Amino acid sequence: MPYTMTAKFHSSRQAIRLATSLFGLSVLTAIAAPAAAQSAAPVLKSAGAIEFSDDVLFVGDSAGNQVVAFQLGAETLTDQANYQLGRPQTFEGRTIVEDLPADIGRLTGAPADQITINDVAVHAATQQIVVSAHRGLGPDAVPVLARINDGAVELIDHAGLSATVHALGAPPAQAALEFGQPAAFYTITDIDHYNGELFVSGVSGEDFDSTLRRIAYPFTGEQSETQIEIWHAVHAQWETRAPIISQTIAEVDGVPTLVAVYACTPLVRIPLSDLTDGAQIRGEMIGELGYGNTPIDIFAYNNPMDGSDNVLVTNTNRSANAIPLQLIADAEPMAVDVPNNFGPAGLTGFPVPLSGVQHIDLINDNWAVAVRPDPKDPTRIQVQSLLVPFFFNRADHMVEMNWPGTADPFGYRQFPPLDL
Amino acid sequence: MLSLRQKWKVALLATFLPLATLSEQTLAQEARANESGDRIWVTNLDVTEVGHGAVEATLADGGRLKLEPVEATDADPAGALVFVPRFPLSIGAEYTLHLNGLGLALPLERSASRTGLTKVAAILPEQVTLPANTLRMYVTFDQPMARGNVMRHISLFDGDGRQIENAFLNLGIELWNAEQTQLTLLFDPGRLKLGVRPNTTHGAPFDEGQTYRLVVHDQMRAADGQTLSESFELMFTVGPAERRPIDVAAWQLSEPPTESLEPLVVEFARVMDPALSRRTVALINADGGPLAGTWASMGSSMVFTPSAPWSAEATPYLFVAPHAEDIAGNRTCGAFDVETRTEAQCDEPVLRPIKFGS
Repeated sequence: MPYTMTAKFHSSRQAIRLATSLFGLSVLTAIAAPAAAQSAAPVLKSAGAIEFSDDVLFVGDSAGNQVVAFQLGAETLTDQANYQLGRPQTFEGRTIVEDLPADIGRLTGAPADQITINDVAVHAATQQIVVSAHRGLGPDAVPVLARINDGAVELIDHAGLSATVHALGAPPAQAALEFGQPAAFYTITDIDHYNGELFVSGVSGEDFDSTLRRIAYPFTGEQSETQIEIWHAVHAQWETRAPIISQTIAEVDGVPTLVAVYACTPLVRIPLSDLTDGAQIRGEMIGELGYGNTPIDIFAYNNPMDGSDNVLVTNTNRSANAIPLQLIADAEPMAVDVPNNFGPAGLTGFPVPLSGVQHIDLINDNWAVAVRPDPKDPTRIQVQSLLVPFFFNRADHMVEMNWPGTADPFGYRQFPPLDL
Repeated sequence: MLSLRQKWKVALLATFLPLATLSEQTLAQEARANESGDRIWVTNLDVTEVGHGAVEATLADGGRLKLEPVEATDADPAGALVFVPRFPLSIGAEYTLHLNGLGLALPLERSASRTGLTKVAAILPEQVTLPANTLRMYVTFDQPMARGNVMRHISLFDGDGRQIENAFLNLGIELWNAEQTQLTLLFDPGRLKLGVRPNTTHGAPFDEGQTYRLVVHDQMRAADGQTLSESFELMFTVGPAERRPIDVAAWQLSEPPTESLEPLVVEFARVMDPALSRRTVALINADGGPLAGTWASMGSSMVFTPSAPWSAEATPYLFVAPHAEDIAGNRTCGAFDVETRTEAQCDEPVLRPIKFGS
């Protein structure tokens, strides 16, 4: 005797909402109908370094050996101007997300320890924060793009976005005959957009290469490749093949200039006009950020206190370095015939207390966003706003003036507790 | 088997959305996933229609995963309802599958294909003596590994059993191949380069004449979420640094007789990079195409076995690509360590004709 069954919805209105929220299909469909969302091959195989230019989000897809440009629209970019990021008067930022991997795990049905956060970028016009992540730790990890909307993490359905793709081809050093062997896996470490062009750097596990790719956007399929030699003070000779880990482009004395940091960690400046296809050029090393250290990110920002333009370099093993662009413009290349120098030396700028930060980008002139371990519980990875130019959150620090009954030299207590 | 309460609920809700049928049940329902976690089977549930949004898998910490019904194929278990999750199930995570219309909540886990625990296949190069300026080593595994836990589980010890701190370059990213079965360990070039003798706490990782032990600990996690079956270690002795460019003319080549299938043995007289050599050393015809045959790496030598007898009619060439490197990063066009402003551009392969013996 057959019974009749249906879904356990509390109301038909809820049934419609549940059914349409995920796949946008009709309320009930016979089992014979295949799920449409599974049929299309995903454009993105992995999601690493990300970068915005206007409404275009560039995603470094190392597994796909490509850069994907997603055109984002109003459904993804929501104005965040009314979201309060903290209180500058008291040097207090705001914890925007308490535990980003846990939130992405909840949205994708995975434990938090299966989520890795790969990069953060901010859409300038709306201040919308976007993160790239992987769900899963194995070779079948699924790329995830998510946005933070009014403090809430939401998935971006990237498979449904309009996208164009630039294939990177074989890693430059392996462009020679490969005899059918697959190219070594090339990991994109950074993408920068400047004036209609992308600058893409990366590292391969099987060679130690300093090639920078320059790609016009909109994509034409063309790219130019430049090998950059750098003088490495730590090594007291030419370091020819250190990989670029991160770079930014800034106008230095009016000249568009690539400012790049390499693994173990020279700071190099190269005028963009030098970066032509096939060129093997010599970057001017102007600083050595120290031995036993790897840069994570570099970006340009304006210091609202004095109006100066700067770059900030974050590091794995040291404090961040804030370096005024004028000092970069004025710096003499480091001497090549000096004895060994174990750094820091040359131009290093000013230390900034940013250790532990995994990813960082600017939200606006006054705030940056950092993805970092929670200072009180490092198993949680939080999204935190930090005040520019100090990149500092007073609440993180166990200083005496944070305690009741102690001195209040800066008058912080005239403000009520920050309750956002 | 449906309880009376479930049957009651079904009957009640059916009056509002009567779109599916359910037969009398006699066996307990069960939910299973395939190995890749992207196909879910529910057995012993005789339902012919399911509502979209009616099925989801949840985790104890609040994780939610929507599932969609799909048509069963011959590859699916007979009689099973088939669902596809929006994301594959995570290995090792304990889900609860909710069939909301029935009030059913079934335990669900991704069934890993257990061919045994993952183990280290090899640490390369396998030579017992490596140059003091060895730039990288490779760890290969017999099954895919998880990202994100390398630095915690791989250690280098000196001959006295003391761990060498910060021996590897911390790039912030892990250098895996696409299958995540081969990991590159880069020694910090800042500690290897000629002339670098920093202070006592940060010396070069290797001292000539000393013995070292590279250990991959069994707590390292594989992609299936399990730890390794056992720890693995490679002991090696460090010899003089190799700071000369690769000299292909100095390689010893055997002279196989023509019309034979005798292998060609190429002795490098140094430790070549074992991963890169697979892609950068080849035998080619005069027209540039690869010679048919198989290469085997024997450490400091490679052996080529032709699939057709050697022909006296055409001279094959040993081809060494410009980016071929030894284990210390030296190339044919120049050493990794070069004097100021002497670096050559590496874009020409080296070709060496093969001689035949009698």
